[in-house]
Amino acid sequence: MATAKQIKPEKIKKKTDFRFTRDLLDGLAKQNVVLMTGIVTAPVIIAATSFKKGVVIALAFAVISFLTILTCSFVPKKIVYTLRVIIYAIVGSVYYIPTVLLLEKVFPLTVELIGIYMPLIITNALIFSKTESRFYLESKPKMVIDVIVFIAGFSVICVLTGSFREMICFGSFAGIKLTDFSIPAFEAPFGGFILLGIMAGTFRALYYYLRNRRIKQNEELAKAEAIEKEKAEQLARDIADEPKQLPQNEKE
Amino acid sequence: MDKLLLFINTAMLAMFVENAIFSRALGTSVAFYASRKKESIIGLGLGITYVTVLSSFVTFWFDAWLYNWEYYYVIMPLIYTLIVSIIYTASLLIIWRFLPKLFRNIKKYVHLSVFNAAVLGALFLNTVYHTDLLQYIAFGVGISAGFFIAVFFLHIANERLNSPLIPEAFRGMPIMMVFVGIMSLAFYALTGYNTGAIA
Repeated sequence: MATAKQIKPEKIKKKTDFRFTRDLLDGLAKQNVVLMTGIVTAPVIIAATSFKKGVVIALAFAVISFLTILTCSFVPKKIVYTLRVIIYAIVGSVYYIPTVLLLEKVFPLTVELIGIYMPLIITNALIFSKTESRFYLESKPKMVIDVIVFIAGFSVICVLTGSFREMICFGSFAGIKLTDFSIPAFEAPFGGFILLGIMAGTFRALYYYLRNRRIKQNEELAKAEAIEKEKAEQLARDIADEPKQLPQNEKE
Repeated sequence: MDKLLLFINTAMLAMFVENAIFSRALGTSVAFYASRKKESIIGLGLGITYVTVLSSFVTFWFDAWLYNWEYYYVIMPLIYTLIVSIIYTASLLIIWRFLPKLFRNIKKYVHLSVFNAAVLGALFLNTVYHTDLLQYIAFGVGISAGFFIAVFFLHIANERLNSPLIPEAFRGMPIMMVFVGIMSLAFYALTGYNTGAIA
């Protein structure tokens, strides 16, 4: 009887290409879904008109998107994308049910005020586009961190826009009156579009400024290093030349 | 005659007052994407019209049947998604079987014209505002036509909004947002504004 001993393959530790600071900034700044790529904007433009609404939208978006993306990552890639999107949409709609029931218990009036923009979260581009172009190309642990960072990027902007609009429209923050100054028209869709456009432009300008400054600093650093290296090489050459010269001097 | 007038009235209302992009911001990212090429506008416009109108017809019967149920609003997205998915799959199968060349061309972006906020948003708005089958279909037609008009406006403005005259940071999406905001302000005026002077 042959006793073929099966040798268990050793677990190979994969060295991940995940760089924490670079990838963290990617979802928060470089590829922010609201201000940089503009792929998830409808709830922010129309529904995020106060701090509380911003928080509720951000919570719903976070729960639905995270669970849907995580669940759908197990959908076999053999199924063509044209049909895979159906599964994504259905999974999103299923997760919407407990999410909205839970949020309604905590924020009953706010959920009602958000209206149709709450269920529309299930059709967000983070689930339909970003999954294919980014998340599902990564390893599972990296994907989880990346999704969380992208969701955080959306949530921060959503809450900020809500707070900012509440201050402009009603002169209050989180329901607390701060000033009598108010421009109620900014609650309308055009206010949301214009404000978000200006916010996106300013954010990009700041991002480009910081990026260019970093590039410039790196260039200067590289230049300084090159000069240092050249000096060191020159010194080394001088030192190397010295012993050759000595015997000549001695001869003289 | 009354039915025809009601149809036109509802469609016009959906097109201008409840415009998918300028009044509701439904499918803004898809509109920005589609506005880059003329072919995309026609393709996506037709796709959205087809799915919205057909889905409006089907959802009407579900709404009539389940509207009074206490938790209908919670499972409504799931039902609508299933309806849209069935229409999408059936249409794709028909196109794949009988028009393979068209299937190859639309395969890349067909999902964009189905699973977007404009289609589902139109269905949700229908449920909120209307009770009549004719109005459901008219609203679906109007929303799709409104989306088409909005994307066409964006396409016209696209080249100028991406010109070097615009500061680099504002080029592309930010200036497009401001442009849509100004257009939205113009469309907002269609709802009427009472100065109070006449009263």
